[in-house]
Amino acid sequence: MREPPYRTVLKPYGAALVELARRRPDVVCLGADLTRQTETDLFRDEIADRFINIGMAEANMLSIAGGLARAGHTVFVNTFGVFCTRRCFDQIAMSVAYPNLNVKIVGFMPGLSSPGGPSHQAIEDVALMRALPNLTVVEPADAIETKQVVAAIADRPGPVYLRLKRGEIPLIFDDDHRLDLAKAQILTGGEGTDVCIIASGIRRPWPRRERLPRTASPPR
Amino acid sequence: MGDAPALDPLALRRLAARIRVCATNMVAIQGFGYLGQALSSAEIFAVLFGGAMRFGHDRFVLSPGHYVIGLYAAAAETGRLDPAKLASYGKDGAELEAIGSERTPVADLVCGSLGQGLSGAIGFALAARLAGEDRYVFAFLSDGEMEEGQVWEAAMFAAHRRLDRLVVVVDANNSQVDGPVTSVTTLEPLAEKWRAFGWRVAEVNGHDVEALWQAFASRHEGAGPLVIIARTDILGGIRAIPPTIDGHFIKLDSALQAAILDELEAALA
Repeated sequence: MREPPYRTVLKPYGAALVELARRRPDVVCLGADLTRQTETDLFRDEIADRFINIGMAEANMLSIAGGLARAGHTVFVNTFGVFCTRRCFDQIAMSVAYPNLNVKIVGFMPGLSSPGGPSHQAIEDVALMRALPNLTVVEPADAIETKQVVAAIADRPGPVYLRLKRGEIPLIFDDDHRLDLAKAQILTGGEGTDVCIIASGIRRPWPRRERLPRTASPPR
Repeated sequence: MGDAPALDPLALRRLAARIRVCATNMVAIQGFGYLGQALSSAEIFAVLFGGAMRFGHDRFVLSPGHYVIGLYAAAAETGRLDPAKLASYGKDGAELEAIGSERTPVADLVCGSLGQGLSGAIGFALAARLAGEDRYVFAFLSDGEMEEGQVWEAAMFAAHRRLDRLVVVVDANNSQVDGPVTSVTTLEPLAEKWRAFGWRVAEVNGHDVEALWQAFASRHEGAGPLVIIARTDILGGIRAIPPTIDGHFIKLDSALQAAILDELEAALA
């Protein structure tokens, strides 16, 4: 693991999706009027014929994705996490998850990371997606994992919800780090047994030991 | 692919009558069910399965999954489904469920949650265009499900993308769970709405096989997606059924079953 301050990478997801689509003609990219905000401007500019802007119609987008997947495509659906989960839950359930199709739903601006209010805060998305059959939920922790996760979920048959932050993403892991969809990473190993913090996603720098309350052992 | 077969109105009318016979016998198994849907859509299924669609090449999407009874009947009558299976309709564990599912045979996509089928059909049409294929995508919709906003999201997008090989047929039978569609909300004027969304529109008597046939044949003319609004009667013109019956979910005792079958057999004779 690297030490803070972490260097950042710009648009690691968008670049990885273009790289994947260049070698995989089955990959198509759908969006709902948030192209630059989902880093898919890179895809639109490089592979225009497989970039489809559905417009602000997430229900329509998820069911179209299901049709494309039935015809053999691996479909990446991109918008903010609130809109591609809460707004079109039944379409995901019936058009994507229950039929176990190759649709990768990519939701940006997770949790409270939005500069906006409750309308743009994805705080139920993980719970909603975890409740659906066949659906895998993935949230990478840094730019190294974000680059790898695109190919990893494309290779994994069936539907996936990929939860991402956008823009400048920190490099936390070393270059030789390998993402494992089935395994958590131990980031810091203390000797204590009082506190165990389990988390997912891209977050603020890990708290330093001296900032913890003195009553607690170092975290593990 | 070769040209579509020639129109044979008598054969299509007989196929529609046999679809109604099959559906009546299927609904009689439980004594209630989606008989009205099969009665109203029998000619639509007859024309689709009797030559308008190229099976194995074109795609078929059934959006309102409870209409699957019409699909089972049409498939059995045209050699695409073992007729012996019809006796299992709606039974626990049967492949032929009363509302279609992923297990449903013959169709490329059967929905159940209303309003999603046209979007799925657009997915097929976009995939065919990406692959440079000449296949048509046929999507069967009902009028009631147009109360779902997703239908109009999809209609707007299909016209924007000029999906010339997308054909929607609407069974406009003015029936939904709570009664006539016109008593719940105002969908009309349907033809003008679709036209305003950028579609080619054909509005026909949905029990007239020749009119339906010509409407499907017009898919080769002009640009943009085509919608066929088929005006139908939820009871399919069967006089043996009391007009006061709930057409959306018909209760069918053996006396009514016999009366319906007598009327249909007389028409087939």
